Amino acid sequence: MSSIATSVRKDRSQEQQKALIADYYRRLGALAAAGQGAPWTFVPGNLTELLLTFDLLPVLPEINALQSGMRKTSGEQVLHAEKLGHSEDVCAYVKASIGAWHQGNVGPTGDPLPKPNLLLLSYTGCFTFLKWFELLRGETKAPTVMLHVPYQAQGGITNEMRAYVVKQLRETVIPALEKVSGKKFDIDKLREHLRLSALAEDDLVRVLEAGKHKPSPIDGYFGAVYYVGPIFTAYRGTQAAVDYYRDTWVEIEERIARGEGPITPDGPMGEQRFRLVVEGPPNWTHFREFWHMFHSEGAVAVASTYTKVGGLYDRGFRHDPDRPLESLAEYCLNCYTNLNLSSRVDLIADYVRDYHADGFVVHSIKSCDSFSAGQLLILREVEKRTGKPGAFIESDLVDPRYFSAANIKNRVESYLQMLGQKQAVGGHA
Amino acid sequence: MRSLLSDLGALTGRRVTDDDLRTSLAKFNANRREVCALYRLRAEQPWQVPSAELYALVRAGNVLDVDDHTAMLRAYRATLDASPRRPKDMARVAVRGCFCEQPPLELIKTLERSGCFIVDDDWVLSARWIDGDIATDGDPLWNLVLAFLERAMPCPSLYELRKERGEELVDGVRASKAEGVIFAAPSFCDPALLDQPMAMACAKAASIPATSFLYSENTGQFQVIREQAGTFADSIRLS
Amino acid sequence: MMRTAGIDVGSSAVKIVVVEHADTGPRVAAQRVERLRHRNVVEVAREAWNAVLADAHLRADDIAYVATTGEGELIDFRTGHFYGMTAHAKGASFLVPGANAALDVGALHARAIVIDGDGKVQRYRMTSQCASGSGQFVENISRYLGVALEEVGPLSCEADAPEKCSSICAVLAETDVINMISRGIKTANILKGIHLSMAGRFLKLLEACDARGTVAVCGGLASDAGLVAAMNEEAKRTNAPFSFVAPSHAIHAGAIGAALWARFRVEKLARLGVETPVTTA
Repeated sequence: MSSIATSVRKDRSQEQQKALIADYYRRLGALAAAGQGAPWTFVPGNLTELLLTFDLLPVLPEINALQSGMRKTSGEQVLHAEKLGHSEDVCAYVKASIGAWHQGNVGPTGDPLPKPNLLLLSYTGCFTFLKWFELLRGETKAPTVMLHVPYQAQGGITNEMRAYVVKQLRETVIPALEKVSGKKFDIDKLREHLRLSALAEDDLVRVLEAGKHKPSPIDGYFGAVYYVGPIFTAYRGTQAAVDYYRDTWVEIEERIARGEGPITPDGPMGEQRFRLVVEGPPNWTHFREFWHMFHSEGAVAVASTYTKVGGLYDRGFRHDPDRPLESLAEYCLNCYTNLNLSSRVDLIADYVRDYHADGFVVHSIKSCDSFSAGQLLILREVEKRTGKPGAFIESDLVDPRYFSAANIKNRVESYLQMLGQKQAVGGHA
Repeated sequence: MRSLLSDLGALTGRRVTDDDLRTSLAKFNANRREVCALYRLRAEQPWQVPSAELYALVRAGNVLDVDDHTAMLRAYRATLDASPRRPKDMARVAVRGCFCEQPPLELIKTLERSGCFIVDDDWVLSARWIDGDIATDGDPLWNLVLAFLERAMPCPSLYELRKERGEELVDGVRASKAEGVIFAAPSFCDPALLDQPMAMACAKAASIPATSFLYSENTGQFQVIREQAGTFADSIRLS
Repeated sequence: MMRTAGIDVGSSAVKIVVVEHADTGPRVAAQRVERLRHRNVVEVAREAWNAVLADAHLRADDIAYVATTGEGELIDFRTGHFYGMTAHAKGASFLVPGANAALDVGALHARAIVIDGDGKVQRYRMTSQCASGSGQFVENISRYLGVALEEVGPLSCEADAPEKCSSICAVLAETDVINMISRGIKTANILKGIHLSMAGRFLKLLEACDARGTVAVCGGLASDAGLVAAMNEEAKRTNAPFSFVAPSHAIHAGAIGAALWARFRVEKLARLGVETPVTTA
């Protein structure tokens, strides 16, 4: 088995992605330096185009937490929050966020973060979001606006649900943004951002669906978290995102033509022995180590649900300049976190079938109730429906104490061995 | 609400009229009045209404017919009136954190045995979710909606706009004349556990003694909780 | 004159005291220890209570407050209940004025408690559920050795070459002891060895809660002179910043502490304008 390389290999798109994220934090740092605030909001149900219409740049606490996780600073933040009285059991993102606020509100790149001038609580199925912003409201005293997005309990969106969200956008969110920015709402400007969103979304879907090829030119979980970075962060609705996704797609098309697999941090991936679908967010504190456990054994993720938390574009949704507020509402309603269990089972089972996967992995997050509740049921149901075996792995988002490398490696290896034996008996699936 | 009602109708094969709803609202109003009366009595004379009994009694309402349950609550109160219990000197505490996953009965008994009179709690919240009666005239669904929106109990899983978190706790402590607060939240309960630092800070600011521990619903181990609650009860009474 | 009572229900005995609160200070007016011997705790306590009242020529309503501790929450005629540690701390500071810590060694566990000048708990540590630091353990060993419990202490003091147990686990230590017997080790040396092992554990508990100065030993094992001597030897040998004193009536520390806190409550309730609940049985 190969060991983890000390230097990290990156492909072109990854370099571009890195530059975009760094630039985002630089711009936030400049706002902070100028003593200006910014709206803070969540990735699922984010209203980036609407914020851009008011020339506002969002701060996204989840992105800060996961970036801190990747840079190994989240552990300190989590401990800081626990010293303030937070339980070991609760969402590690929240604790990283509270800890970071208390440690001087500096972002993961070292740039200072602007204080919230508005807490835009887009509530899309994750209860913890409510508590998170209640806590930040207590800490920062910033005004809070809640966008209440009805849960897809019945597995669909009704006209009433859509109208309810649009009404809140019109009557609550837009007036709050007008107040914070001092600018009048310009619907044509919003339309232009939405037009750019849709263009980027088209190419993002091409990128993610490239996982259907054999060999897969991408890793649809570990690799794809880089791909979704810009559109999840603050670039949706910008020309920069359109360019990034166009370039990325070109890069991947080239790989498809050459029959190449993804570039991992340890170099180009070799033979792809196992094609997997992955459910659940990754662990960020040991991201490379976690990925290595898979690619070093010839396992490639062809699709994942986590890369859809910022929007289920591959299921057909697009932001629509002709229906600006309605399509923003549909976007929020369609977030992966807002889906009920049976819709999630449908989605994963479809991925296993459509991406010709050999099996699927559920990565369960100890402190994420929203994702983890019901995952054992998902595992059983998807196994039943697809006839493909699933694996269940547990760790955490950004709390390094809960990544037990030896245990996880054991699980992954024995699961892949089992898949290997199946293939030996029954031929490649 | 209307689609919920029609779905329930389709499930049961019964079409529900506005008058049916009004009758039901009235029954639950009566039930809630009885539950709240017992809660008030417990706050006034906690030795008369042990919390382990009150909890079992109120929780039984989750599975009983509402009229039967109301009758049971009334019968219990009559028994108390007929045979008063001996008062005791114990610490008066409010318990918080259990809104959803209900605590095991033994946990409540442990707290009481440790020297705590529980004079306020957030167990079986649904039995007293609405403050006061729901109007039985006019549009019953609309009345229900208004009651839920405007007169619901504060609860960790409900987004709180009216007050800062913790303020309701301080109000509850004052109203029930509790001398301290015990946060007993189930493990891995994000809403309750995330509320805790905010509520603890409010309690501290209001000089209300507070302690906290975790429990799991199916645990049978209470020695540590007993120790902690006992020390807490003593610290309240002996200061 | 105010009188209060303390009832300490332990796992092997019920201890009861009546304390008179004279102007000159509190005084134990009557006391009683009743071994449970597998009888119903509530009944034993009731009988012992009546006996103590009879001893002191008192009626139940002469007592302003009946405070229980230990497992005493089962006693229905109590006025109030105090946690065992709270009561022992207070009792220890009454029995050994100026004590900085208490070590309560009962039938099933031991706990080290650092106390302040008023006998309030500052910090504490308890043994885990393991029995090797408890009276029950000593009782088992004395049975193996065919020694009466009262003789354990004096015999241990006669040891010349104590044989230390290799294990701190009660089950393994008992096996150790059986081996020692078959190897012909003198009973006194076996007992002293046991006492030294236990002393080592208690010293660790006290160190963990940063105890200093005088440690009042209370609970049933305080009367075991061999154990107390072993603890003082170990403390001296390891340069521990504390030494042990075992007062007479140490077994009553919990009950005395409860009775003393009872008076505090009567006075506090009076200050708050609350009537102390009626306690007459």
